[in-house]
Amino acid sequence: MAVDTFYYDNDIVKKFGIATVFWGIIGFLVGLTVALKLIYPDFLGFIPELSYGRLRPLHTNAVIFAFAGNAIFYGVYYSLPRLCKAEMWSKALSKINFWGWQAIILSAVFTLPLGITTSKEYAELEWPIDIAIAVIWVIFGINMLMTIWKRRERHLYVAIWFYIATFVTVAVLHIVNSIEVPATILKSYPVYAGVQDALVQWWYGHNAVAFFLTTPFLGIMYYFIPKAANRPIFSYRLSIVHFWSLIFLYIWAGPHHLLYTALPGWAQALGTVFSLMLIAPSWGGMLNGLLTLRGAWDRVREDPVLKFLVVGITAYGMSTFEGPMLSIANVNAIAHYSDYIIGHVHLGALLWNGGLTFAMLYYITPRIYKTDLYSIKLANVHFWFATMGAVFYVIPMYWGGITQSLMWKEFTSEGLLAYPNFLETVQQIIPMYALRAFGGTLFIIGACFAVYNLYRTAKSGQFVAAEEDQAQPIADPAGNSNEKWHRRLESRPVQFTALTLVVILIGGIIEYVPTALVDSNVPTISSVKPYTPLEIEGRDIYIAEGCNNCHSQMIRPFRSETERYGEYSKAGEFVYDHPHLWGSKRTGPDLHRSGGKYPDSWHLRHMHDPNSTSPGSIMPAYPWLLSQEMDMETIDERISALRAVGVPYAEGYEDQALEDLKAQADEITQGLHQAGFKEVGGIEITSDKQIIAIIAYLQRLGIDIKGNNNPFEELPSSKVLGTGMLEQKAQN
Amino acid sequence: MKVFDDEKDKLLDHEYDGIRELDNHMPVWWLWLFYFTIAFGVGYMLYYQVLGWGPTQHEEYQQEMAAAEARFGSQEQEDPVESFTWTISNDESDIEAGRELYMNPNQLCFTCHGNNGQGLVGPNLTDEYWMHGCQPQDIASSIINGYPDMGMLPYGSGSKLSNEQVQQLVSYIASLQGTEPDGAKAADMNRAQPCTEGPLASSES
Repeated sequence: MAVDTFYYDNDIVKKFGIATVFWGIIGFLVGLTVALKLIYPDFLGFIPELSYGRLRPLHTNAVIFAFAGNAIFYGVYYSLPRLCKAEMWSKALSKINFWGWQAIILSAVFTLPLGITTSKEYAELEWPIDIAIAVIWVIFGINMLMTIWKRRERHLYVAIWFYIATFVTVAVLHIVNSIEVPATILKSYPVYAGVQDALVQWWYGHNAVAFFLTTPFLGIMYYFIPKAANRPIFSYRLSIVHFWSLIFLYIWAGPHHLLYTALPGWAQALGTVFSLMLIAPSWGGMLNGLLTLRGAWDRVREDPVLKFLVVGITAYGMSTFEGPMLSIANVNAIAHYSDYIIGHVHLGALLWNGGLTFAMLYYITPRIYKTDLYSIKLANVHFWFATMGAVFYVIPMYWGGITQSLMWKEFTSEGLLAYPNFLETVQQIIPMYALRAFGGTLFIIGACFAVYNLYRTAKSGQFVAAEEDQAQPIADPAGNSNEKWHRRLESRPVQFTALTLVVILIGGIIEYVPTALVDSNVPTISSVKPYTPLEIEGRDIYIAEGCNNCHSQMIRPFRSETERYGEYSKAGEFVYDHPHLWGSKRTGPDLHRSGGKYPDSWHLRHMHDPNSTSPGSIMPAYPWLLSQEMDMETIDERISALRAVGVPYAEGYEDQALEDLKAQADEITQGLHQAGFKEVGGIEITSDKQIIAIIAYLQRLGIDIKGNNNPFEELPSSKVLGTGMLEQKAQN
Repeated sequence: MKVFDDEKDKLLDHEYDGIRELDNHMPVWWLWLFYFTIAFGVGYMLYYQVLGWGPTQHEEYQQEMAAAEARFGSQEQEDPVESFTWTISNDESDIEAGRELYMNPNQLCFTCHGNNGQGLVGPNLTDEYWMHGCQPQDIASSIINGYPDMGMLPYGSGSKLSNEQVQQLVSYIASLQGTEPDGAKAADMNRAQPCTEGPLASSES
C-alpha cells in the first residue's frame, strides 16, 4: 500500500510557544501591578493610563487571550496535525492566524489603558477589534477543519472533539455577545440593555471559561497525558459521555453569575441546577486524566511535564467542584462580589491553565529542538514556585473574601449594621491582599526560571522546522458501516461539527429568548427615563475609567444590603442601560443608589483625592477628571447610536443634545462654585471638564424609582421639543 | 505505550499518533454522582419554579425583613432626640471623648467639617451662625438624623452612636465656638442664623 510522506510545521508551533511565554510574563506582571495597587493605591502614581480600572481588564485580557490563547494555538498546532497524520491545511492561514492574533493583542495593549473599552468583562475590546477577532478565529477554524478534512487517520481522537467544540462555541459566543452599534470609530453600544445584556454577557463570560479555558485544555490534556505518561487513555466510554454532557450542560450555567440579581428567578434557577449537574462531566475529564497515569505515578516524581499535568488536572478537579458549590444560591450570597471568586478563578488560571501550558512547553520544546530539557532540576524548582505561589495566592483570597463578606452582613445586637462604613471591611483584608501579591510574585519568579530553562534548551538543540512523518491515506472512506454509531460519527467531521453546534445552541436559546421576548421578565417602571446627554457622557467616562471593575450597581434583596445601600435593584430600572454596569466585584461599595446620597462637592473632593472624604480609602485618585475636557463633539453620534439600539430619544434630539449637555453642566458647575468650590487643589473647576459629567451620572443613579421627575424638563430642549424629546412610548 | 497484562483485553484497536485507548467502564460512583445531580436539578426546578413551593428571592427578603422587625421593632418608632435630655458638658474628658468621635474614620465628621471644625464641604462649626438650630437638642438631632439630602448621613456615616456618645460629640462641637481656626469657611447667610438663645447664644447679640 502507498505511504505518504509529509512534514509537520514546527515553525508555527515555535512561534506560538514564544508568544505564549512572552505574553504570559507580561500578563502576570500587569496582574502583580494591579495587586500592588490594592495595597499601595499610589503605586506608579495617579496616571490615567496606569490606573487600576484600566489595567485590570488589560491583565484579564492578557492572561486569557494572550497567554492562554496562544497556548491553545500552541497545543492545537502541535497535536492536531500529528493526530490527523497530516500537515496543517494552509501554512498561509497558520501565519495569518499567528500574526493576526498578536496584532489583536497589541491593539488591546494600546486601547485598554487609553480607556477604550466596552466594559463587558472579558469582552472589553471595542467593535473594530471584535471584528478582527471574529475574522482571525474563523481563519483558525477553517485551517483546523480543513486539516481534519484532509486527514490520514480515519477517526477523530477525543482531543480533536474538544478542539472542534472550542472553535464552534467560541465563535458563537463572541459574535452574539459583540453585537453592538458603533457610535464612533472606537465607541459602540451593545444592542442588549440591562437584564438582557447581563444575561448575554454572563452566558458569554461563563462560557469563555468553559470553551476558552476548559475545553481546549481538556483536548490538550488528552494528547499530552498519554504521550508524557506513555499509557493508554483510561476509558474511551468516559471520554464520550463526559465530552457530550460537558458541552451540553456548560452553556446553561451562565446565570450563576447573576444569582439574587434582577435576572428572572427561573433563569437563575437554571443556572444553579445546570452548574450542579456539571460536577460529574467535569470530573469525568479529571478522572480520565488521572486514571490514565496508572502505573506511571513513580515517574510523576521525576518528570516535570507529568508534575505540571497532574497538579493542573487536580486544580481543575478542585475548581470544577468549587464552581458548582458557588452556584448554590445561599453559598453564592456570601461569596459573590467578594475576593473569594478572585481566588477561585486563580486556582484554575494559575494551576490548570498555567500548569498545562508549562507542561506543554517543557514537552514540546526539547522535541522540536531535538535535544533534552536543559535542566530538569530547574523545572522542578519552577514547579514548586508555581504551586506555592498559587497556594499563597488562593488561600488569602478565600480567607479575605469570606471575612469581608461576613462583615458586610453582620448586624449588632440592636439590629444595626456592625460595619456601616464599607472602608472598615476593606482595611480588614489588606493583609490578605499583601499575601496575594507575595504569592503572585512567587509564581512569576517560577515562570522566569521557565523562560531561562526553555531558552537554554533551545540554544542547545537544533531546531527542526519541518518534521517528517509517514502514513497511509484513508483507504476506503465508507468501509466502516459495522461500527457503533459514535465510532461512525468520529469519522464524519462535518456531522460531528454540526451536532456539536446544535448541542451548544440549545441552552443559550432557551434562556435568552424568553428573557428578551416575554415582558413579565422585565416589568417596566414608568418613572424610569433615559439618561440626559451629560449623564451619557458621564456614564461613558465611568466605563472608560473601568469603575465597574470595583463597584457594582446591583443591590441584592438582602437586609444587609438594603440597610447599607437602599432599596434593592429592580429589572425595570436598567432598561436604558446599554451596556449594563452591574459589575461582579465589590472592592468598593455598590453605587446603584448613589444618586443624591452625597452633595456634588463631596464627589468632587472624593474623585480628586478619595482620602479627603474617606480616610484610608484604597480607591485611586482621579485628578485628571478635573482637568481633562469632556467629549462634546461626538455626543450627537452617541445619542443617535443609542436610539438605534432602542433608547427612545426623539428623532432630531441629537441636534439638541449638546445644548442640553452644556446647560446641565453649567448648573452643576454653578452649584459647586456657590458651595465654595471654584478650584480644588489648584485646579479650576469649569463646566467643560469630565468631573462635571461623572458627577451628573453618579447623582442620577438609582433615583428614578423614587419619584416621577422628568430629567429633561429643565433642559433647553424642552422649550423646542416640549416634553417630546423622548418618544411617546417612553412616557407611557 | 505501556499496557499491563490485566488491561490487554480492554485495549481498543484505536491508535492516534501512538495514543491507545482502554475500554474501561465508567466508575460507578461517578455515574451515580451524575444521576444524583440530575435528579437534584429536576427536584430543585420543580420545588422552586414549577410548583412554586420554595420562596422566591423577594419572598425570602420579605421574610428576612419581617423577622428583623419582629426582633428589633421598627427603627422609626424610637426617637432618641425626644427621649433624652441633652445638655452641654464642660468636662474635659467628655470634650476629649467627643473630639475622638469627631476624628474617628467611622463617623467621618472631620472629612466634611474640617479637622478643626472650620468647615469644608459641610458648614463651619466654630462661628455663631447655625442652619439647623443651636440648642443642644438641635445639634443632637442634626447628628442623629443627619441631612441625607445634603450629603450628611445619620451619625455622619450611618454608623450609630449611643446617646452618651452623641452628648460628648455635642459638647466637643460646643467647645469649638469662637475658636476661629485657619481657613474658616464663611457662613451661608441665606440659610444660617446667628444663635440668639440657649447655652451657645452669642454674647454680642
